[in-house]
Amino acid sequence: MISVTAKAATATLPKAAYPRESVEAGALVVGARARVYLEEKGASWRLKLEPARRCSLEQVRALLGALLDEALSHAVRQKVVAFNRALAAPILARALESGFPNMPHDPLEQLEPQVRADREKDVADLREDAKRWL
Amino acid sequence: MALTLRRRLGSSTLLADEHGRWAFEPAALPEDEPDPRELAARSLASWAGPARHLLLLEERGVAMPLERAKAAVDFAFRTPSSGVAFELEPGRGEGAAWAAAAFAMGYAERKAEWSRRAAAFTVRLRAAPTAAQAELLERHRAEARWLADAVGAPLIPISAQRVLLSVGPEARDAAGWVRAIAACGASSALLEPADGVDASFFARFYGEALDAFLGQESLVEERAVAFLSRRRAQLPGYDVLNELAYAPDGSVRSSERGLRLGDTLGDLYHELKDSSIVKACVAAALPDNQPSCQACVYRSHCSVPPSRHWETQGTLWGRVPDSLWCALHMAVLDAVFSRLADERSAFALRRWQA
Repeated sequence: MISVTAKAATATLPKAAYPRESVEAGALVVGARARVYLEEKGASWRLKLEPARRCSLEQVRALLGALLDEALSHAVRQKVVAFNRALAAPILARALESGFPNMPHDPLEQLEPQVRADREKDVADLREDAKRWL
Repeated sequence: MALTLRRRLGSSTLLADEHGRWAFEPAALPEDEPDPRELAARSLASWAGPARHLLLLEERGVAMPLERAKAAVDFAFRTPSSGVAFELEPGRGEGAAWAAAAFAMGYAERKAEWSRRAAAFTVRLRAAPTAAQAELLERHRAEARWLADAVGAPLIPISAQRVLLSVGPEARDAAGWVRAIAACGASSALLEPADGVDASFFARFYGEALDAFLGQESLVEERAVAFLSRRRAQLPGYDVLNELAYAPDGSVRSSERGLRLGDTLGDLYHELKDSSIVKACVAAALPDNQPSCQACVYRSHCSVPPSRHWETQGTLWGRVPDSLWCALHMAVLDAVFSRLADERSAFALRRWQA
């Protein structure tokens, strides 16, 4: 059930279709444009949305629509992600592992202080050279 | 048995399976299993870090200080790829941005030498470079990428190896722009939807441009090539997988218009894997995680950069049914695949892939 005025919109949402984290994801979409309150009432949520600044009735309706669109989309996506977890999780884990290895520091610089000194001099020269553009 | 997905393109029906193999009816999809080595090579599981590092050398009138440029180059050299590709965006900045460009390229060359890796550079230009800028590009063997807005009559081109053509609602004369791009001496161009352009307008412009590209001997459109490659890490501007961006204030972003992931001075590259934004960006690239993408005929070819969905819909995952970027990608893929139904265009597109 939904009701909308120019000052606020309220909606009663079944918990079974709209888990709390999905409503939170919906609230993220409206961001700073509105304040969102959530009250638990048995098997439902009572959601209230107050726009952060003066809005027309249509704009309040659009804000609520954006929130509910994302909330429902999030809920469906979570189901899909859970259903495909066995397939997708290993790929994601491998991608994060192969894409973000802990690369070692340059061993030569650590072993040879002179190498570090020479390179610092090199970089200082580059810095001076670049300042010609200023 | 792989699931067969269908899409009507004009008078043809495109069939595709979840591995990205496709055919036009009455031909059928291959029944054998796809080559596992090819699948592995295309899989995200074999991803080896961002393909390019975009140095934003000037932003809102602030140029990148040299120390920040050094930190950005150091950060990029902590990525695992054997070659480190930089794209430098001096914006409309003058001396200070170009000082950062000169330093960054010089320093990256030293880093490459010290670490026995390769460094490659592309520098964005909006107008013909000054003599000093041209000399700088030549000294570092940097490619020039001409940034042009497809508004009004095609501009007199500047010499560039690559072109980024921004297509807004005022864009006209697609074929003329492709001729201008060819006149640059460019080998590739990327058509980028600008703010305010709608999918059907972009589709028309892109389709006309694609025909003109296919008529050129040695010029490719990068988005079409990336889609046909079926590798997400090649999709232009795809957050984290394709690019990382570095702002003058030291921020590391998920892409040019992406979200802040960390700081070049305070964070290490490998720590990014613990970022929830990075995890979301990588996970969003898997069609199995996207409800509407699962059943899309282009599921193996396409993925919308999460930062684009964030900008337009306030979510990194996107809501596909009303996503502008999904519509734009569908329009481009429809244009590309409808040309694949034609033997002569298909031959040229296969040459692009090669």
